[in-house]
Amino acid sequence: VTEHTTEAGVSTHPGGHLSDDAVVIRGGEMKRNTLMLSARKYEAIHPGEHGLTFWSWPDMTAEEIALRVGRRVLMHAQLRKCTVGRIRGMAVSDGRPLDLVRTGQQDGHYTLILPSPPTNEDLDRLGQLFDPPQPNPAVSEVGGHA
Amino acid sequence: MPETPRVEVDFNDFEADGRLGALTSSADNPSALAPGVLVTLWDEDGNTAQGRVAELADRGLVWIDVLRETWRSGPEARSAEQVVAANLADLKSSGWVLCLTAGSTTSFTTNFGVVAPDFYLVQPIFHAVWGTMGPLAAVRGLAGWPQHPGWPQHLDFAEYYKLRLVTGVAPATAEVGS
Repeated sequence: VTEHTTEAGVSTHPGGHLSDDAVVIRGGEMKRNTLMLSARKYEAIHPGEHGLTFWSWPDMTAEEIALRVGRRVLMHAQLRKCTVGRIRGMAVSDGRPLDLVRTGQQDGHYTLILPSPPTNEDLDRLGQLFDPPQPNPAVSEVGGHA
Repeated sequence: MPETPRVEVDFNDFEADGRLGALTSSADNPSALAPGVLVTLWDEDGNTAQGRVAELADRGLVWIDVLRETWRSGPEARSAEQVVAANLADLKSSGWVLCLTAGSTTSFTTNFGVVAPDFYLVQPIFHAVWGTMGPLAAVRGLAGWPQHPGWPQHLDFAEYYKLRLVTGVAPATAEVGS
């Protein structure tokens, strides 16, 4: 299958899709304003689409994903994790089913395309799907930055 | 230290080229943003870092070259000067020879974004000296810097170089530790 990349850099290669039990992570505490800021920044790059980026590799734990991404990119002291299945089951304001698609040039980099624009309720609901913040091993491994 | 513009960011928003994307509207003084300007980055979690504006783009986007060594999980980012000062003693005592610069800052910075560990050190150094310094063989020989005795384990060479540029004391051709 030939990989196809849309104007927004979204891969439609079947391999770009994750199974329901795949773990995804995001750096930081995922507070609503931060998520909204990031979604708006995404829209500035890809007009008409609001998105949030995550990291995932099949069959990896959150800790393994964080270590693979590394502290240069995942600098936060904490991270949050979720499964793809939970995200897919979330109801959002535009009624469209959510999914993560592989994006960009970085391996393991996925984008969740949100309703455009997302509501505060969308982002709060998304945040509630994730487990509570946990230490980021990529940072704690080297003693942190602080 | 003069006040730098503050920009609210999401530190998840690094692109593949290593730059962080943000919105100019997230700055406390958007009109102060211009290429090369030093900025303080912060997020709602309380993390801070310093960076330099790399580019102002359409639709209110600003691309920032983050000085990763200034990152702090707290309200006060370490300044580039503080990080350089903290590491200078280590470097000088090691007798290190730093063959730096000679390339343009722009091309050097552009090539910094690559995160691939095997090429990370070789490529930027190669570009930095391209066309202006002869001993490329010697430069290639420096690819194993992180393992070299005396180079601080925690210190990323590329980041250190960027910090030196920001502080205005980047070496012109080469720097020899005392």
